[in-house]
Amino acid sequence: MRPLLHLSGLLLSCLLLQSGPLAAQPLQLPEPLEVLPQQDPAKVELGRALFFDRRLSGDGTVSCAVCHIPDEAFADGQKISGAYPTNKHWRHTNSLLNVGYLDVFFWDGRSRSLEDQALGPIHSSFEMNLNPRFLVAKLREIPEYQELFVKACGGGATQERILDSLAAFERTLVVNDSPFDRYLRGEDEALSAQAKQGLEIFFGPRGNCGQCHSGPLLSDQKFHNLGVAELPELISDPQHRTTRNFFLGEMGLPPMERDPGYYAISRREKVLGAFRTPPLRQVEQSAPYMHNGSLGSLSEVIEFFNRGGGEDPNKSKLLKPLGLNEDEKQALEVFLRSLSGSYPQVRAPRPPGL
Amino acid sequence: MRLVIKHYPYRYRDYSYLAAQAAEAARAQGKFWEYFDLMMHEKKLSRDDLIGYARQLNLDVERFSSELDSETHRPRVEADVDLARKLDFYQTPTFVINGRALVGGRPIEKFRELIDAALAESKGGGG
Repeated sequence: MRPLLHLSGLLLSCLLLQSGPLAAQPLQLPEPLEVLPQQDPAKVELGRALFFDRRLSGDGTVSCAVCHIPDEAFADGQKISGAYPTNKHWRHTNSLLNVGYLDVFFWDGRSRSLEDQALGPIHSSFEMNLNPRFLVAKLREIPEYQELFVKACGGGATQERILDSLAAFERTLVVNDSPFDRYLRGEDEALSAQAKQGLEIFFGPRGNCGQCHSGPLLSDQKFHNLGVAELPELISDPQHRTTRNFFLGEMGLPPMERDPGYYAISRREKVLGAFRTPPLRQVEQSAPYMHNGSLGSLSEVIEFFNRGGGEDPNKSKLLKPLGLNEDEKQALEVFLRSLSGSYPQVRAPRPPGL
Repeated sequence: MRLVIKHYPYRYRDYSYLAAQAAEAARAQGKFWEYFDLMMHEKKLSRDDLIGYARQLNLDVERFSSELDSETHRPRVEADVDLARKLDFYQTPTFVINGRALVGGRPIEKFRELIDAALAESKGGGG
């Protein structure tokens, strides 16, 4: 039996007293990820077809899978996300793995459902750039799509059915068999001794990572300013500036020389530059990191937090220099690598009607 | 190791097809990479700009302009575009390292990782 505690599964303290170095300060570990409800297979199939279909973009070149690449943990491996041709984005692509567990979407939390989230990129001028109503009209003219819609939704293409199906597909993109997950379910040997040392740093007072990377998903889904520096190119490049200032304008804000993060949604000064805590499954495969992809590797991220984060007048008070030594930093990295498991190996179907 | 470049001019850009053909016209005179680098550095791609780059590189400007204007190299560019579409590549830049596609600008480490893996595989396979 593991000598660690679940939040809702407290073991007797006498057991902990017998269990070595962790006994002095029992860690509070999250509950294992619950199993998500089974999605309707017909809806998932339709969602998969839509996800890979380039006709969801204005010029027919950009599908969801262009920036959420199946082989790259459903992220895109770039600092700044890919964009609609001839444009540039301004934020880093989030992985889609385990999005079915989330309640808050996008770096700035501007969406509160997976269905609503799915609409954003289709509509966005610098992502897929297609009027969703035009998309509905296009899909209605493709008999194979009509068949898929009828089978999955009981009727023809509508915006709501498109988004429902995309969300159903995305809810199947689950990772819950990483060594860490197996450890949470009671397999003590799933983590190496070094990974366990890293786990102790992560959830314990040495690292305190678990204060924000909390819960089964390892995200509190709240917003924190870590003092991540702006990328110089986002400030100097006119195309990046255009995208940022367009976005800010759409949110009713004036142009800014920085990413306001959650402030754009909440208008509270306190959260200027604060971004949603990302979930951490498959984190090893979803480099680079942070809302602007400015940290290239897990070791850079660990160094960043070890320094107490970056510089920002608004930086979270939760961040303090950690003073981790090399051995501890390495253990933490080994633990983060233990968050990788397997996820569905999805391939693009033949595009309906082509 | 062999580096092969294929053109993928974006169809809605004014000068992208012209620039791709200009690079091919420079290739015909043995200066593809010099021309490519200069074009990427300068970024302006109108017909006059493209002919100016040919002049800077001491190409035969008369031949270069004639090939550009008569679209001598367009079939080669279009063959590249057809190949990209056949392979389902629509984004630039797209890199293919021994069959593995990488889309977009990536950190150099990612290229090292894939190239090292491809080299190791090639050594293993070749004995």
